[in-house]
Amino acid sequence: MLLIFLLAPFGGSLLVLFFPSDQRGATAWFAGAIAFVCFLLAAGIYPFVTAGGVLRFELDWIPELGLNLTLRMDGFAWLFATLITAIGVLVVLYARYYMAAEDPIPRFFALFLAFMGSMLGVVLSGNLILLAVFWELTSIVSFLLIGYWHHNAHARDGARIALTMTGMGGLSMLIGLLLIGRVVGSYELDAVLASGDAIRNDPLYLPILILILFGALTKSAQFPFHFWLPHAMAAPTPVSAYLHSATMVKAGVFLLARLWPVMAGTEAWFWIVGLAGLSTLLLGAYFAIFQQDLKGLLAYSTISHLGLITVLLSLGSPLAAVAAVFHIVNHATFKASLFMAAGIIDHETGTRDMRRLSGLFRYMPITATLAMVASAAMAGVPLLNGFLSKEMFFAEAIETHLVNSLDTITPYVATIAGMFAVTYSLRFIHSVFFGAPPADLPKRPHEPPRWMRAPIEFLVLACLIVGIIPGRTIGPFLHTAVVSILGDRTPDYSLAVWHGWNVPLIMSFVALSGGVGLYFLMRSYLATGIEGPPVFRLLQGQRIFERVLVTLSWKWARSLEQRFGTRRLQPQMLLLVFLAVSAAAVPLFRRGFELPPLVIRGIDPAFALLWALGIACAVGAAYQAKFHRLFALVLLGGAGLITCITFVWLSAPDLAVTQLLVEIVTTVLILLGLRWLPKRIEESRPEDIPLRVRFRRLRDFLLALAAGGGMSLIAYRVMTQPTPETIASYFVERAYSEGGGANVVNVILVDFRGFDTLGEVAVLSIVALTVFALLLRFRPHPDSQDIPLQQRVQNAFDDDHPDRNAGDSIAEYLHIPSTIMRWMFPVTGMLAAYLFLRGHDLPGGGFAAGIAMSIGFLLQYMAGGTRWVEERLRIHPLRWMSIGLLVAAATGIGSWVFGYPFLTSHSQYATLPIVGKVPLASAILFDLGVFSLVLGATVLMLIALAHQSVRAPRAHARPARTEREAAQ
Amino acid sequence: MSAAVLYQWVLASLPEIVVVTGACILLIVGQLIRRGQEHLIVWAAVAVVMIAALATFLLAGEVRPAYSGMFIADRFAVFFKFVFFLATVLTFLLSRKYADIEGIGISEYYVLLLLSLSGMMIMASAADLLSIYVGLELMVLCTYVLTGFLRRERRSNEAALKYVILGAVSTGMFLYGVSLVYGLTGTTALDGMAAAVTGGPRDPALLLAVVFIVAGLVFKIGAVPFHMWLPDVYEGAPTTVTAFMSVAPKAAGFAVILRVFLNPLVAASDVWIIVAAIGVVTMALGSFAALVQDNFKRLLAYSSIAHAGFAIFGLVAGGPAGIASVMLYLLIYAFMTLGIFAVVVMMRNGDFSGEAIPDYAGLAKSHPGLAFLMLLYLFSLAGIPPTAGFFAKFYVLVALVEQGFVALAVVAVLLSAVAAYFYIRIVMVIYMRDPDRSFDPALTPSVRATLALTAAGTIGIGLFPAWFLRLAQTSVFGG
Repeated sequence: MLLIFLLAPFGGSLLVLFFPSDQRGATAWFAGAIAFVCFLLAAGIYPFVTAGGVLRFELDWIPELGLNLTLRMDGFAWLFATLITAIGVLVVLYARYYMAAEDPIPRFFALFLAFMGSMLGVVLSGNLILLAVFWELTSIVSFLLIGYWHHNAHARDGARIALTMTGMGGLSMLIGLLLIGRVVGSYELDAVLASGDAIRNDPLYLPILILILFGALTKSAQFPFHFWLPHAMAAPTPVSAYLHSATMVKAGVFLLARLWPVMAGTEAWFWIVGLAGLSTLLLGAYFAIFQQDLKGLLAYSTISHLGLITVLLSLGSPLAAVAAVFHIVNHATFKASLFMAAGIIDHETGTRDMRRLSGLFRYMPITATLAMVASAAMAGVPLLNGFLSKEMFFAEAIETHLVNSLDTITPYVATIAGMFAVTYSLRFIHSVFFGAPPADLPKRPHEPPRWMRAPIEFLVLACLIVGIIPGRTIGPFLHTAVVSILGDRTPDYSLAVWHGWNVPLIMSFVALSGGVGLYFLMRSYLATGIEGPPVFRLLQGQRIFERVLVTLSWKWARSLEQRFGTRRLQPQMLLLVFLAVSAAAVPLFRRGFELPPLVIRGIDPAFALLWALGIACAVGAAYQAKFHRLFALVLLGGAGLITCITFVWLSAPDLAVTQLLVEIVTTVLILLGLRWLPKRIEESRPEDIPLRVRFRRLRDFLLALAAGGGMSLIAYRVMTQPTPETIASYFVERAYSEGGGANVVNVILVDFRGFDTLGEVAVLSIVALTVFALLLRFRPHPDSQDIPLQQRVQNAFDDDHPDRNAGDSIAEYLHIPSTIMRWMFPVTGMLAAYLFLRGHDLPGGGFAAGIAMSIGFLLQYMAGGTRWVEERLRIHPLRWMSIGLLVAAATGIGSWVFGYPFLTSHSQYATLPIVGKVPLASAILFDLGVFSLVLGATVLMLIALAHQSVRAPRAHARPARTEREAAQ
Repeated sequence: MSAAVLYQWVLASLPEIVVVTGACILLIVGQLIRRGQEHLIVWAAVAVVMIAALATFLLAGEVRPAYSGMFIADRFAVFFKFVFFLATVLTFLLSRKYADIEGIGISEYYVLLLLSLSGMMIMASAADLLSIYVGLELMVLCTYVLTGFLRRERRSNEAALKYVILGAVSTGMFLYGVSLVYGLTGTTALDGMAAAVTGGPRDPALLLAVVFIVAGLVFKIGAVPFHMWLPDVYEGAPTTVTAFMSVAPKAAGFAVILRVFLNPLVAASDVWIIVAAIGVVTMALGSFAALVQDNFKRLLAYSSIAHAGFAIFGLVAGGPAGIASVMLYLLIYAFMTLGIFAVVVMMRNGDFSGEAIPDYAGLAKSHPGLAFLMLLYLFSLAGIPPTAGFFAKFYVLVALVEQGFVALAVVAVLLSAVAAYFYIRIVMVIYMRDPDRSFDPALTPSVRATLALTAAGTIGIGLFPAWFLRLAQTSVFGG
C-alpha cells in the first residue's frame, strides 16, 4: 500500500509528460487527482497509525549491501505525508490558475508530481540509504523546478546555487548515513532508532554528526548555508509555496527530528545545531525586515522560522521536540498561504516590489484579509496557530537545558527574533495593502479567480481553527506524530490558548509591542527603499559563495589545467621522467638501499681505455644529436664498435659477429635515411642563449643524469644479485648432444627455439614490408629535396671549368673507393657463404650470413648509385624473402614427413669437394631460409631508402612527363 | 606437451583465438570487398565478437589455467571480457556512419579494434607479468594507430605521436619493473612472485620494482601524474575511438591492476598509501580541470580521469568488496560513457562537429528524446540516483567506509560534487538555453540500438543493481 505513495506520483509524472501542452485544465486535474488520491490514502491509514502501528513495506533491492526498498510509515511520517499531499493538492489547484498559457504546463506538473513523489519517498523511507536517494532526487527535481523559467537568468542561477548547496549537503549526509550503518550494522531505520546509545558513544559520533548536519542544515537553509533560498525565489510562485513551506526545506528539519532520538542530547549536538538555529532565527528575521521583494521577505522569514524549529530540536528536551513538530505544521500552513497570496498579488499587479505596491486593500479586499490573518499567524498573534507554537518555544527557551552561555542567551534572542517577526509581518501587510493607491502598476489589480483563492481560504481557515481550538483539531494528529518520535519519553503537554499569566506570555507581549514599535520607528528608513539590511548588505553569503565558486571553478581550475594539463609534449615528458625518478628514489631512500660492495678485480688498462672511449663516444653522440646528426651517428657507430670488441673480449665471438654486422647495417641505413630528414636547426651563438633557456637545459641535463644514474644503479644492483637458475645451462649442455652443433646460439636459433625463430623471421619480413610501404608514401621535406650542398659545389666547379662536362665531378668523386667497393662484392658474398656454412659449430649462421650479404648490396648501392646497381644486378628482395619463408616452413613441415614433431632437426657431417667437412644438420636448410629472408628484408629496406633519390627528381620532372604523355 | 594439454590450453584461450583469427581473416577479406559494401565488414566484425562472447560464455564454467601458468581463464577474466565485448560491439555500431563521414571506413579500422580487443582479453586473463606485457602492447599499439586514424587532421596526428612517445616511456618503466622483479625473484609469474616474497625481509629494490610496474599501469588508466596524454589523445582521436578508449583499455588497465594488486607482494609494500594519494589527486585534478573545458571530448577526458580516481578508491579499500566495487564501477561506467559518446558521435554530421559544448544549446527544444538521454547519461556520470552511476559510487563508498577510510570517503564525495557541477552545466546548456541552430544528428538504426542498449544499462542497473552486484561479487577471484 505504501508503494502507491511512490508509484502514483512518479507514474503520474511520466504520464503527464504525454499530455498535450494546450490542455491546461486536464493536466491540472490529473495532477490534482493524483495528489488527492495520495492524500485520501494517507487519511485512510490514519486509524492504523494513531493506534501506534507502524506500516511497513519491504522489497529486496540489494540485500547484499543491506539496502532494501523499505517503506515505513509511523506517526511522524504520516503527519508529513499528509502535509505534503494536502498542500500538494492545494498548490496544484492554485497553479492551475497561476501558470500562464505560454508556459509548458505538462512539464511543470510532471516535475511537480516527481517532486511530491521524492518528498514522500524521503519521509516514508525506512532505510537510510533509500532516504538519501530520495533526498538527492528532491535536490535534482527542485533544481529543475526552480529553473523552470529558464529564459530568466536569475532562475538559472538560483537553480544552480540551490542544487550545488543541497546536492553537496546530501552527498555528505550520505557518508554520514553510511557511517551510521557501519556503527549500527544495518541501514534499516528501525534498527538505527533502537541503537541511539551505540551511536552517541561511538568514536565516530562527531564525524557522523557533522556530516549529517551539513546535509540537514543546507537543505533547511540554515545559517551559514541559507543564501540559496532567497535565490530560489525566482521559481514560479506555486513552486515556492510548495517547496518552502511544506516540503523541500522541511526535509532538513524532518531528518533532524527523525534522528533526534539517536543523535540529540549531546553537548556537540546542542552547540552545533543550537548555534546554527539561533543565528538563523535572528539573522533571518532581521534580513526579512529589509527586503523589498515580497517573496524575498517571505523567503527570509522562512529561513528564520526554520531556525526556530532547529533551535527547538537542538535543546534536546522532549517538550521542545513537541513544539518543533507543531511548528513544522503551523509554519507549513501559514507560509503556504502567504506565498500564494504573494503570487496572487504578483499575478494581478505584475510586480512584487513593495516599493511600488500600496493600498491594494481596496482592489482585493478578500485576498488582503486572508493575507492579513496569515501574516498575523506568522507574527505569532494570539488565537492563531503561530502563536501557540511560538508560546511553546518561548517556554522552552527559558528552561535551562545545559548550563552554558548559549542556553542563557536563548530567551533573549528568541524575544528579539519574535520582535523582528512582528515587524516584517506588519511591514508586509501595511506596505502592500494600505496607504495610497498604487501609481504605476503594470496591470490594474483586481480579485483573482474564485478557485485561485480557495487554497488560501482553506489554509487560513486552518490557521484560525487550530489557533482557537488546538486540542480538538490538531491535537490527536500531533500526538500521533510525537509519540512515534519520542516513544515512552513523550511528555505531558497541553495545547491550550490560555496558560495563565506566565513568562512566555510576557515575552510574547514584549515581542508584539516591540515589533510594532520597531516598525513605526523604522518606517522612514524603510521608505528610502534601499534593498537589503544595513551593514549586512555588504556581506552577502551568496556573493561570498559565488566568489568561492568562481575561484574554485575558474581560477584554480584554470591554473591547475595550465600547470598540469599542458598540451606540449616536452613538459609532459619532463614530468613523466621526473616522476619516475623521484618515485624510484623515494622508496629507496626510505628503506635504505645498500649497494653491494664494489669489488675491484684486476682491471686491464687496455679494456678500461676501450670503455672510456666507448663512453666518450656515447656521450658525444648524445651531445651532438640535435645539431650535428652526422657526427652523432659516427660516434654512435664508435660506441657500437666498442660493444662488439667487448663481446670478443668477454669471449662471445658469435655475439660480436652478429653485433658488428647489425651495427654496420643500421648505421648505413640510418646514414641513407639521414639525407631525407628536414634541415637541421642551426644553433645560435652561445652568448645569445637567454638565461632561462640555459637554466632549462641545465635542469633537463640534471634530470637525464639522475635517470641515467638511477638506471645504472639498478642494473648494478641486479647484476650483483646471484643469478637464479636459468635455462642457459640446459642449452649449453645439450647443444652438441641433441642439436649436433657447437655454436650454442645458432643451435638455439635453428633447433631448440626453431619455432620462435620462424615467428621472428616472419615478423622481420613484415617489418621490412612495412618500412617499404611507409617509405613509398614518404615525401621528403622540401628543404631536403634540393641537391645537397656538396654536389652543388661540385656542379659549380664543373660549370666554371669549360673543359669539364656537367656531372663529371660527381662521377669522379670517391672514384677509387667505389671501385674497391665494387670489387669487394664477390668477397662479401664469399664471406657470407663462409659464415653460413660454419655457422653450426663456429660463430656465424644464417642470420649473420644474411646480414653480411646485404652489406655487400649496401656497398654496391653506395658506390655506384641506385641506377647503376639496378641496371647490372637483378635484385628481387620480395622473392628472396618469400623463398626464405617458404624454405624455413618447408623444413619444419619436412620433419612431419619423417614422423617427427614440427621442426625436429637431424644432423650429420658431409664432406664436400674443396670445402671439406661440413656439418649438415637438417637445420641448415632452415638456416638457409633464415639467410634468404634476412637478406631480402634488409635489401628491401635499403631499396626503399635508395629509391628516394630516384624518386625525388622524378617528382620535379613530373610536369615534363605529362607533357610528353599529352604529346603521345 | 601432449595433445590433450594443448587442447586444454586452446580451449582456455579460445575466445582470444577467435578474435585474432577473425581479425586476420577480416584483414584479408577487407581488401576484396567492393566499394559500397563496407557495412559487411562491420557486421562481420560484430559477428566475430559475438562468437568470441559466446565462447567465453560457454567456457565460463570453470577456471582454466593455461600456457604453463602464463594465462588463466577465470570468472574475473570473463567479467572483464564482457565489458570489452560490450565496448567493442557498441563502438562498431557507432562507427558505421561516423566512419563514412570522416572517411575512415576501411577494414583496417575494424581489424585494429579487434586486435586491440584481443590484447585486452589477454590482459584480463594474464597471470604472468610477461603475458600482461604482451597483451598490453598489443592493445596500445592498436590504439596508437587508431588515434592517428584521421590522417588529414593535424590534431589527430599530433595526438597519436604524443601518445606513442609517452606510452613507450611508460611501457619502458613497466618493463624495467618486470625485469627487476625477475632479477630479484627469478620469476615473473604473479603466483611465483607471491611465493618469493613471503618469508624473509623485503628488499627495497622489490619495492622499487613495484613502483615501476604501478607507474606503467597507472599510465594506462590515465591517473595523475600520468594523465597528461589523455585530454590530447581523447580530443585528437576519432570520436568513436575515443569512446572505445575511454572504456575498454581503461577497464583492461584496471583488470591488470586488480590482479597485480591482489598480489601479496604489493599488499605487503604499503603501496596503498601511494595509491590513495594518486586517487585523491587524480579525482581532484580531473574534476577541477573539467570545469573549464569547452570541448566536449576534452571534458569527457577529464571526466574519465576523475572517474578513474574514484575507481582507484575502490582499489584502496581492497578486499573482495573493494575489488567487486571497482568491477561494478567499470561496468556501469562503460554503459554511461558509451552512451554519452554515442550522442557526441552522432552529432557529428555535416558541418556540425559536435565537440563544442555551447553548440548543444537548446537541444532539448528540437530533440527532447535525445536530450533526455543525454540528461540520463550525464546524471549517471554525476552519480545522481536512481541512475546506475549512483550505485557505482555508492558501492565504492560502502567498501571504503567498511574498511574505515572515512576521510577518503568524504574527500571522494566532495570531489564528486565538484564533478557533478560540470555535468549539470551541460544539462543546463541543453535544457535551459535557447537554440541558435538546428540539429541534424546522424540517427542511424545502429546508433539507435547503441543508445537503447546504453540507456537500458544506465537505468536498468540503477533500478535493479542487485543482480549486477552479485555478478561482480562472484567474479572476484580469490574472494
